[in-house]
Order: sequence, then structure tokens, then C-alpha cells
Amino acid sequence: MREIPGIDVVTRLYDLADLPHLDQLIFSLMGQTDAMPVQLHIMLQRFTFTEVQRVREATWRLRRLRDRTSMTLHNWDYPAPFDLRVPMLNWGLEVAQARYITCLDVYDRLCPHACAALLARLCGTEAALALGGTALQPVLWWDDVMVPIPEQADELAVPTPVFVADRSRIAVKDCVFRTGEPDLEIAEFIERLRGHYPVDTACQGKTVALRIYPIS
Amino acid sequence: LTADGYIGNVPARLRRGQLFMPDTPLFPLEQERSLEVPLGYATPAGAPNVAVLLHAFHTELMPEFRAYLDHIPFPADLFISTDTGEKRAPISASFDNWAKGPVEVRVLPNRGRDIAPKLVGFAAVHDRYEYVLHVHTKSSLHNSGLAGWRAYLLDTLLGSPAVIHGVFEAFARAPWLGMIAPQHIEYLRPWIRWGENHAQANDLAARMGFPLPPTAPLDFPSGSMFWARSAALRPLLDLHLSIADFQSECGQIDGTLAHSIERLYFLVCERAGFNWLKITARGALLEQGGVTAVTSPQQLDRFLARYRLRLDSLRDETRPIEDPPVITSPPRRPQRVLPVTWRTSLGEPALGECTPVPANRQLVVALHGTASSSALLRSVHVALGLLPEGVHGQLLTMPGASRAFAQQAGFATGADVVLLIGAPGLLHPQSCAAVMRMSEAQEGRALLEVVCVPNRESRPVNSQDFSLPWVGGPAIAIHRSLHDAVGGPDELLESKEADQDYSQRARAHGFDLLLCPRALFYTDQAPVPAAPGDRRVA
Repeated sequence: MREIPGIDVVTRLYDLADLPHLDQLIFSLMGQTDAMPVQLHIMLQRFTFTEVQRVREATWRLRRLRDRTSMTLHNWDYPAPFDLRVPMLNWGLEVAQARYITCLDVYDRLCPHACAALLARLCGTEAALALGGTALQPVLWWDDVMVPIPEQADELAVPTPVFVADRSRIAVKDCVFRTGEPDLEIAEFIERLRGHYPVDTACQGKTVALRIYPIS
Repeated sequence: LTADGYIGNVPARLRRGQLFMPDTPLFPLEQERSLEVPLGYATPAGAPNVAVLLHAFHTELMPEFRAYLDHIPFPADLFISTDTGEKRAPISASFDNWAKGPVEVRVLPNRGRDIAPKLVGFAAVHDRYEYVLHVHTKSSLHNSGLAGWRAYLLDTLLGSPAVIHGVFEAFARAPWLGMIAPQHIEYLRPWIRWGENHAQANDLAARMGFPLPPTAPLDFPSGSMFWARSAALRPLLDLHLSIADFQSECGQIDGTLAHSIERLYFLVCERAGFNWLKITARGALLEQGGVTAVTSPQQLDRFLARYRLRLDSLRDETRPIEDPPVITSPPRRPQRVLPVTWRTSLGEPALGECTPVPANRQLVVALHGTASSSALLRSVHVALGLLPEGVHGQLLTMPGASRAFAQQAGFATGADVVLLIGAPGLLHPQSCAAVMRMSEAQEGRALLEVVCVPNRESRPVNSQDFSLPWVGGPAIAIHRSLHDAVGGPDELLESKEADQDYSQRARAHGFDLLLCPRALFYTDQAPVPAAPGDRRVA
């Protein structure tokens, strides 16, 4: 890690079908009230050249919305391992260079003050991790059309909180994602660090992000 | 069949993050055979004793189901279940002139998806009819890859009278045939496995008297829609399950008793002494490899004899794989591109993606109130730069101005459409183009609301035509014809009341109130406190 200003955001894209979700995630990153630079790392799972181009074309307009924002596509094009969920996150940790980092799902949407609030908590405390509350937003969606629907969130599973980590306060050996229960790698990361490092939970009772939940 | 047990395009599947190596290899190739319907020859007309069991959760799909069920070429009694009393009326209305038999609509608890209503709610129906059709208003919106699934299932089971004649021709020629179900769509194949459903399935299998080891070969009517002889379901019906046996509904996509039963259907059929068959609507699958067309009764007999499958027989790995039947190669047909959905057919015209916007149109984005941040200005410039070719875009900034004043000023410039933004935030690059297209598609007869993200105050949206009960929020689009007819909002009212009042007046003049789902405004306002019961991390 080299301490460059700003925050690194790592997200994974498995399939072009999720491009509309990536679009909205980036849109919410561009709208952050904090002027801190954002380095977005999009980890692609075995995309072809054409597919990488599709991602590039789909995101270039959004890049124009904000200064001091960089976006890098990282394509894992090796045939192994089959399950890249954790390797792609760890690769994101490797390529990230800022002191602060977060890993978001393409279904996440940050509220405007999310980054500012979580970074303020890290700067004002000794915490290695600041957690923010995530609320579920049920939606109907098809293609790139997404229509929010009235609340049904109280019957849905509790989403993993969003986090911002201060890597200068975490040992390198701990700052790694591990294979565990499917789709719980970020939750496992948070829980593991929570057991060894101070974690700030002041924003956990607030909604700083939405998790899009497609409803059938 | 590849070395790792997959069939088909392995890399394409592995690119999807959700996919993993299955516990056991997928099917041997012989099991991949499916019979193409309609059959390639005229089949004799019959009048089987048929009950249609339809679970109608999504009542907006009733016209679609009515159209498919109208293809049944003989008498058929309808038994329709739903989950609320309010849905009874629209369901009944959709079938009020059903001339092929009686129609019964029952309201049943919302448990067990479509499975419990049919196997528990209408269990007795199976005693009175020789054949049953199980269908339901499947809507797999959790996964865009499944968007065309329902259409495929219905096309395969009910796509035309000839399709249904083909189904009953197979039943007639094969008394041992208990169940006929659609072949899996390609996208689903990696999910054709026990997954989290084995434990519950094993319990049920034990109650029915047969073992179900975790390595048991698996095939089932994915989507739980099929034609069947009632007798083929008897072991399952004799369990006398109750609604309470099924988990309460909370949006599960796997791991429920209903999902387990779905995976047991073919095994139940075998337990009852029958075999099963998979069929495919002509030209419906992208992967046509295992689809077999027959052009004569003899060819059908040969196909049925060769592909009389039993899952338990597949456990014998020494059994040789037979050659495919000698059947005239079907002509290569144009492949239908999935997904094609009712939403696409209905929603796209409303969105106007295919509607040309005349080059002389003019859009004005008017920023009023507190909408004046540099980020917003920049995003508006980007969005205006992406308007359809020839459409003129203009930005008006009027910090502190009221919406009524901004609206008046916008139309004073000669605009055809004014997009009013009254709060700081960020406009998505595609928003201006989306507003113009949708406005054009509606011929200017609509008041449009831009979707605000993150959205915590959502109103019910009609997912077919995007209509709203009222239009409001920090970003709305008004067409000149609406402005000429209605004028501006009532400035004496509070913001929300003014929105509702304006919407009512617009509707009174014949304008639609619509959400423009491809136009997004990222609002720079603090998030609204979550509603009671909202589950957030504590």
C-alpha cells in the first residue's frame, strides 16, 4: 500500500447482465458529497475482449460526471480457479493503493454522504473499520429498467453492512478475504476484523447504503 | 459431455460468478433428448378428461394466461388459486366467458409458492380428472437471464392447439407416460442439482418409501409446469401435506419445501409406476442439440421407446448409451432469441426506445430552488450532450426560483419539454434522452417523473406501463401540451400537496402520470429515515 489520497473502491462484475447495476453503483459513487478522490477498481471475471469493451463503453459517460475519479478494469482471464469471488476481492486489495478501501457489490447504492460519514468516523477514531447500515430496496427489474417497489424489506434477510477500512491500521496478514460460505466473504471479512481490531459502528444505525434486491 | 461433467458451453457458465462445480456430473447425453412439439404430423383429436390448475399470484398476467389456455382444443375445467381476496375479481373477470368448462377460483394462504395451492388446496381435483395441467404465473425477476423463462414454458406446454394435441398423442401412444414437462432452458442447467433442497426432499422421499441418497441422479420439471396423469402424482398426494408444512413466504429463491417437491416430481412419477418425457417448443431453445422432431406415429413410437427414461436406471453406469433414433433431420429454423418477455413487449413501447424523436424537438432543463451545485450543472451538460441527434437541449439555471416560475420560463424559450429539477444532486447521463424518448412515445400526453436514487419513498408503479398514482419529487418532466392545458403548479400548496394537485389536474385533462425508469436523479438529500420494520444492520 502506498498512501495516495482518496479511497479505493473494489467491485466485482461477473456478467454483462449486471452492467445496469454497475452503472447505478458508479452513478452513486460519482454523486458522493465528499470531494476525496475515488479510485474505482472493477474486477471482471474472465471477460472476453469484446465484453471488456462493452464495460468500457457503458461506463465512460459516467466518468465525466466527476473530477478526480479514476476507473480501472481488471480482467481475470486465467481459467483457474473456477470460483473467483474471493480471488477477485484479494486482487482488488493488491491493486488498491490508497489508505482507505471499501468493497461494494454491484447491487449496492451509496447514499450521498456515505463516504464522507464513514471516512469521518475513521479519521476521528482509532478504528480500523467503520461500518454503515445498509437497507434493502426491493425492485422489479429487467434489462436496464429498475422500478422500486413498496417496502417488503422487513421480510428479507439482513444485508451485510458497507465498510470502509483504514489499511494502515490492519496487519497485512489480516487484510485478506477468505473462502467461506458462498456470498458471505465480505461479511466474514468484517466479522473477522471485528474480533481483532477496533471497529466503529456509529453509522451502523443509519442508512448509508441501499442493497438492491430484485423481487420475483 | 466434458470431463468435468458439464454439457455445453462451459466457459460461458463459469464466467458467471454464481456457478460452481456441481456435486455430481450433470446428465448423460441420452437424457438430454427432448421431443419437439408440435409434432410433425397431424394427430387425431381427442377429448381427454382434463383439469387445469393455475396458481395466479401475478394477476396482471391473466390476459397472457387466458390467451395460452384458449389454445386447449377440448373441454378443460379451470381451478385457479390466488393469495388474496382482492385478486379474485380480476381473475374471474379474465375467465368469465370460459366456455370449455367450469371455473373455480380459490383464495389460499401465500405459502408454498405455486406447489402448495395445487397439491394441497386442489388435492381433491386430482381424484376427479385423468389429466392435469400445472401452471402458474411465474415471474423470475430476481434474474434477468430468466426473463423469457415463463414464455418458453408456456409456449412448450400450451403454445398452440397443435402443441397440446402432440402432448396428448404422446400420452395416448404411451400408457406408461405419466408426466410431460418442458426441457430445461440452457441458462438454468447449472442449477439442475439438489443444492440446499436435498434434505427436505430426502424426508419426503422416505415418507413415500424410496431412498434418495445425495448422489441420486436428478431431473425435474424446472419451473414446476407440466402436463401429467393425475395417477402419476398419487404418491405425493397421498402424503396429505398441509399448507402449514410449507415455509412462509419471504422471497426465498431456493431451499424451501416447494423447491424440494419441484425436484421430486419425476421421481414421484416413477414411484407411481410411470415414466416421464421432456418436450421443447419448436425453435424455442438456443441449444437445439437434443431436440428431436418426429414426422410420423412410427417415429414417435420409436422415440418414446428409446428414450423411456427412469432416473433410478441411470444409477447403473454400465448401461450403454444408445444411438440417437434415425429420424429425419428437422430443417434448421431461425432461433428465437431469449429473453423475450411480456414486459419487453409492453414496456418498450411505453419507454419509446424505438420511437424516433423528431429533430426539431427542444428540451430545456430548468434548475430551480436549491438545485445549483456544480456537480449537477456538469451532469446536466453531460446528459444534454447525449440527446438524440438533432434534438436541441438547453440549460436554465434559476437558483431560488419556484417551480412554477421555472416551468413558465422554460416554456417561454419555446421548449417542447421542460425537465424541472429542484434539488441538488446528479442527473444520470442517459436521463435527458430517456425523457425525450418516453415523452415522444406518449405523444406528449404524459407527466413524467424521473426516478430518484437512492429511493426510500417509492410509490406503487405499474410495471407494464409505468403509471404512478401521482407524480412528484425533485425531478419531473412536463410536455408543452400539458403546460398549455393545465398551467403550472399551485404555489399556495406545500410541495407534496402541490405535486398531488398538479397530478390530479393533469389526469383530469387526459394526461398519464408515468415514471420514466431510464431517467435517474441521484438526490443530494439526506436519506429518509427508514420505515418501521426496516431491517438494517444493528
